[in-house]
Amino acid sequence: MRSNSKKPPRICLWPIKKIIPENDFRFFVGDIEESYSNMLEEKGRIFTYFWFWLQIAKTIPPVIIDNSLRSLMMINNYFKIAIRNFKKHKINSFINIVGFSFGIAFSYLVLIYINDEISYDKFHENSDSIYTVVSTSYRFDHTGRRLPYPVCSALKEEYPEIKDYTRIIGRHGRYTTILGYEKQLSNEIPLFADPNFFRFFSFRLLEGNPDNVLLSSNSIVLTEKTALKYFGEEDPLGKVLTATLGSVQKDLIVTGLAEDPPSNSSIKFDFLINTENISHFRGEDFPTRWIGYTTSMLILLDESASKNDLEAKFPGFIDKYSGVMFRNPTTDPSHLGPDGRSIKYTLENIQDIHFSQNISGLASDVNDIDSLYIFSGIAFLILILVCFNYTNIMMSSISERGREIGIRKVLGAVRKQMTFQFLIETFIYLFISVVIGILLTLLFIGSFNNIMNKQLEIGAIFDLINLVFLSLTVFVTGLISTFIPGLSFARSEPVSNLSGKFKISKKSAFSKALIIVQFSISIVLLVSMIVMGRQIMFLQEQDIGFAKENLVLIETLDRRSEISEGILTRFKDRIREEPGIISATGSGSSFYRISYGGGGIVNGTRISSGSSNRVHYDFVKTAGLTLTAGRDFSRDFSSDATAAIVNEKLLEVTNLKDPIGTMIMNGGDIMPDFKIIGVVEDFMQASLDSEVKPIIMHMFPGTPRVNLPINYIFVRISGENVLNTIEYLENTWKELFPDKPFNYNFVDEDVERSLGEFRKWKQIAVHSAFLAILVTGMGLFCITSLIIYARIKEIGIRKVLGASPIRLFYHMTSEFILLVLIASIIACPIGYILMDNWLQNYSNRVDLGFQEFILTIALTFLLSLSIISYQTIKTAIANPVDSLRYE
Amino acid sequence: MKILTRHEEIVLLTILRLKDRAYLVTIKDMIKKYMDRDQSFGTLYVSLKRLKRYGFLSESIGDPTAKRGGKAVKYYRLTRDGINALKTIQKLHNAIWDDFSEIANEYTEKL
Repeated sequence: MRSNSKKPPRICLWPIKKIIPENDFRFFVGDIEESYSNMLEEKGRIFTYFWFWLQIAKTIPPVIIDNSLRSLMMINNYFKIAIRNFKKHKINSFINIVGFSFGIAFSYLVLIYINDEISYDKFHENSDSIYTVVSTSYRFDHTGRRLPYPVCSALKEEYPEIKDYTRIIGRHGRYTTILGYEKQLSNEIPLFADPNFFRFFSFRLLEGNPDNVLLSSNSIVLTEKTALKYFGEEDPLGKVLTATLGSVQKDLIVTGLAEDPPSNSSIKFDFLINTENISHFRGEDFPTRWIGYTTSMLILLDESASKNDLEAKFPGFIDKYSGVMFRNPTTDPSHLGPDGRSIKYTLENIQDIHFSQNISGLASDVNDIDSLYIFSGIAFLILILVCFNYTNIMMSSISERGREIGIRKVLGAVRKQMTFQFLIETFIYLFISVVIGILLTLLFIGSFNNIMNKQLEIGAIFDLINLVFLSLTVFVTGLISTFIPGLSFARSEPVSNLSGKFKISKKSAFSKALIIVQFSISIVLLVSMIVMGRQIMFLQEQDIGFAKENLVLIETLDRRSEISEGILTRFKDRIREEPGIISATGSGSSFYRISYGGGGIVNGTRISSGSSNRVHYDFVKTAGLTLTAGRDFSRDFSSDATAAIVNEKLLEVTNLKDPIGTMIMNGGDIMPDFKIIGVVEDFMQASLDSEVKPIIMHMFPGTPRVNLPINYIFVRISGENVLNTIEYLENTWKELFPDKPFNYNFVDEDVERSLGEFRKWKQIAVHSAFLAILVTGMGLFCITSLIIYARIKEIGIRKVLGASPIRLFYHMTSEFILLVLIASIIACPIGYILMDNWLQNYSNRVDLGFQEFILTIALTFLLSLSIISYQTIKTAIANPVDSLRYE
Repeated sequence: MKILTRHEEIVLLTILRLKDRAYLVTIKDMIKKYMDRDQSFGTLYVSLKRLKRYGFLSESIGDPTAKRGGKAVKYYRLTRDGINALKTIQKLHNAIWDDFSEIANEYTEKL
């Protein structure tokens, strides 16, 4: 049975329905159906069918075009209105724009920063397939991106999944390098690299052919920066430099010039030499040494291979080569990992290096991913604050614009249109704010770089990806800011709008909620600032335990036990009689930076490795440590060669009551046992925020198998005529060691620098809190003025009825007090949780107490009270007649 | 006074001729007859809306018929302004088309 074929298919009409207003659509459908049945009579079913489809298709474009044209015309109108509104409420507009601009600028800076951080090492072409091999030693409790040299080629042989590999031996090797050209002498960050370096990575070569630039072992490739230093503007190609490692020298020809490694590269270098040279500089047998973690290996994983599968095969490798790799295999269970082996190999993608904090080697900057989250969080909060501000203001201005809205509605404005109108207004605001925001970003990027210790370039501000994200953020901000007020007042009755009697009853609940959220966010940020500030001050005031002023540190630039000691003694003898020099000593590690090696058993407790430091005579005196028991090393006792001074923490950890004379057991075969002869007060070791660890200081010079060089000479100077003294030291040095550059630091400056990390946080906290307060304050200012305006009649009547200004004041402010109270109740637990979390990062930390919360709440109250008072007092004093006349 | 486009002019004249029977379908059919070309519903609809906006047309609603599936008809009539607009166009047309044949002939002779 044929269905009623006189009607056209309904479905096709659906698109038409969407683009034509409802009223017209009804008639339109009627016309269509009539045409259709006419056509049916004339030409028959099939023809009509096709005709109908064609008609529909032809109908749609003109209608859409017409619609768009009309909207455009309307937009023109909205523009005019928006500009008029701007002028009418100058203060509000100004505040809105300022708020948005700052919010946008801040968020944009954070955006650029995050984009930069994530982009580390992504610029290499095959970065997704480039992995570094990470070795974990359970015995020494050490994880690093280094392997013994021969392991690299062995791994390649064993596993075809490794398509290609390259080795890098960097500055953490035993020696630093000094480059000499004519008179220029300086030490640089070298990298021993394989000839395929420039093919494996995407570092740009400005001069030289990437395939053969590092082919010869006599080649050296300089970076722009290094070339500039030695050769100025001249072309460095072909010139000969002398490289000195330890006592070994070699002349090298410059065969290439490389672009400075980009700031977002974990691998940084000043020059490159072929890895073949390693035998020349570090011993003929270096390439066959299966012991010692020296070489970084990066592999290119075949596309078809899986990283996890390859990792799973590594234990097999370790077993196979365990004969060569372990000369004294350990059976101590505490030295073994969960699978029973003492070492483990894993793969780490090159793009992940930047964020892994506990793995040493290869990476030049490391960041923790938490700070990225924190930043985004803060930026997000500030944007929300700004949005809410804007929303609040818009909603409060309803009462003023009630008339305008009423008329529009009477004239037939559809809800969609009105929402659209406010959208346009919002985006006009935003557009202006974006322009200003970008200007602000340009202004502040410098200080941002300083605080964050980064080198974000101005170009990044105009980088396409960043701009895209910025637009997205702005767009979403606009949408959020518009739709909330747009929805609510578009629903209201036109008549009540017209008479300006727009009630903010239900809406004010919403408005109040917004205010509460704003306050909560501000309180949280304020509290964070206070806590962070306290933590930083606490750390700054920490007793460092040693005397950092007037202490000079000089690098011996030699990593061999005996030779470096020789340097120390020669230098020390020379300068000792000089006035202005109080004392001098030497140390293996710059003792407030991480120390190395060793460990030992004291009183039955094992001290973990990373706790020993080789020092020299007069160490305690020069460093300004405080002896609490026993004595310093002395030349009077020959047995002092195996003596040790420990810190109080060690006594604590080992439960040692009577330290003097106790032996530190080192196993005897690698290191002799030490006898404790003195105890000092704890002093700062790594950085201010890390825990104090037990430490063993000794003078043992090491053995042929265990190298314990004196890397640093400490000189305590008198503090008078510092410049002269430094000059004297430099001249003496140059006289004694003409082949070594004089690299010195002031210890107190170094310590200051390590505080930089905290300063960064303090700055951030201060700035964001400031922003938050600013935005909240401005918002509050607007709200109060607008709400008061709305209630101006009420105030007028109250005054007439005899209310004193004080009572009025009380009446108006009590509402707000309540809001602030609620906000505090919400914000405090949140703030507590956040700060508690953050403080966990620091083993050395302050306690989270009530003070900061109470302080914050008090501040917030103060702020809001002052703003509200200003507004209410102004109105309370005003003549009620003026306000009542308004109706 | 707004100058009508050709298309608008044709629509208005058609409506004039259709007297009381001018609605979308009839207008469309008549234009087809004159121009020997089909107009899509869309263009016509848009033109009608525009003309109404200018104030040249007025609408009235008529009875539904079965043919239209029970929907009412929207009839269009010219307003006074509409007629004036046509008169203006006519004046312009007459002025500028005056003596067309003669002038055209002279013109072609000279080519």
